[in-house]
Amino acid sequence: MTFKLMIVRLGSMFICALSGAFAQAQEVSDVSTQISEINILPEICVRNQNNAQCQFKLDVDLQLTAKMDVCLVIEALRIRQCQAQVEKARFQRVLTINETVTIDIVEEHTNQVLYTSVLKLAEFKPVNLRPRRNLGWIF
Amino acid sequence: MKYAILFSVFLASIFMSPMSLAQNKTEQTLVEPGSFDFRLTAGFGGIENPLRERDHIRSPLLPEFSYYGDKLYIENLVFGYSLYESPIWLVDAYGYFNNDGYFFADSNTAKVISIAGITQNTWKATRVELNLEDIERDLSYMAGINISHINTWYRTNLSIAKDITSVHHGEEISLTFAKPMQWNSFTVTVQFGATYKSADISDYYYRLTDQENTIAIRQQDIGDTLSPWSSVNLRYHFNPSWSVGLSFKKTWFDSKFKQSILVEESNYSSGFVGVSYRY
Repeated sequence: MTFKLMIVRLGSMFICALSGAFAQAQEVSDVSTQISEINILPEICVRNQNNAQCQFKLDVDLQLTAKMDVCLVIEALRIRQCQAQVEKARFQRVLTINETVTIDIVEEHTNQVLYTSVLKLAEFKPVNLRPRRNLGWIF
Repeated sequence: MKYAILFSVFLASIFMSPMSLAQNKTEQTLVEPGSFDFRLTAGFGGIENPLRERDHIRSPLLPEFSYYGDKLYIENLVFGYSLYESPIWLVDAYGYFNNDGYFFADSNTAKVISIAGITQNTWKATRVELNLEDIERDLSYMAGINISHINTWYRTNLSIAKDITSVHHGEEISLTFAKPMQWNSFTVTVQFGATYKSADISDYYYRLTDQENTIAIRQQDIGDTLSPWSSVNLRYHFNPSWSVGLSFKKTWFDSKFKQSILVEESNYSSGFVGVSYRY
């Protein structure tokens, strides 16, 4: 196994472990009866150890039981994006985060929370391995 | 002149090789900082003694220990501190026991070798007029810089060290090429190199002093020497703990050693074969 491949593999294992842990820890509210289906991707953003921020494209696909005015709200980023009288809504935008953020789907006028999801920020920490000298016994 | 040759070969080996990442690194060439490693091998092995009237050094056990910290490392009796480390370059300050002292089984040597687990080193009483068995030499500890360059195909190592124990005040320069290979659980490392020893080392260990030369043998200074060597290490891993291994090294003395009354053989072997358990 090459050094580069090993780092990538170890990194992948680390991310998988994180993803698994976070998937379990993800705070998902009860889905409102007004939502028939919702998909929010990604669930986790992984940044390099050297990068302060994590940039990704958020994609929210929402299917409602009836037409209504809904908004995507991310308080931490002061984002509020609404669509009027839709039964099927899709929100897509590029986000840059430096901490874990909460994504809410709300009814525009009453601010009733229809769905809440937590988007976790993880950090990629490759295991730092040192080359062995293999000097052994110098005979 | 020999310094220049060794250094030229070292530079040539680096610039002729591809400067890519060490893609051929095997898992066992990497170690996690903070880890201890202890391996005990039971079998047969030792060091062939090229000196006259001395027995070979044999042992049924070969212990090997290593510790790697963030900068520090210990491999058996080698202590090192990393000054610079990248996937391609390693620059260490390090120290090790000069191996010439092992051939003189005086009390100090016996003690250290016993600690190292290489026991049963005995030597015959001589029948010649000159009592070679009475000749004692101290072990010396060398310290210096160890530079390694790792490329896709092999690893080049240049070591420059000086005696820091004021035994002989000599210097050693070693140039080594190592090729590690791995096929699943089977690992092979082939190495060859050459070791330069300054006249201080050669004359201290292999030339009789005036007090020792009781029968007034005419002696010449040995001077600085350059001795090539090659080695092969084979290991098959049954699991992370158990393995079988064979290591063999052959060293060819510089022809100048023929001038020494103490040296009988022009080359010597060292090695070990056995079953290993890694703790």
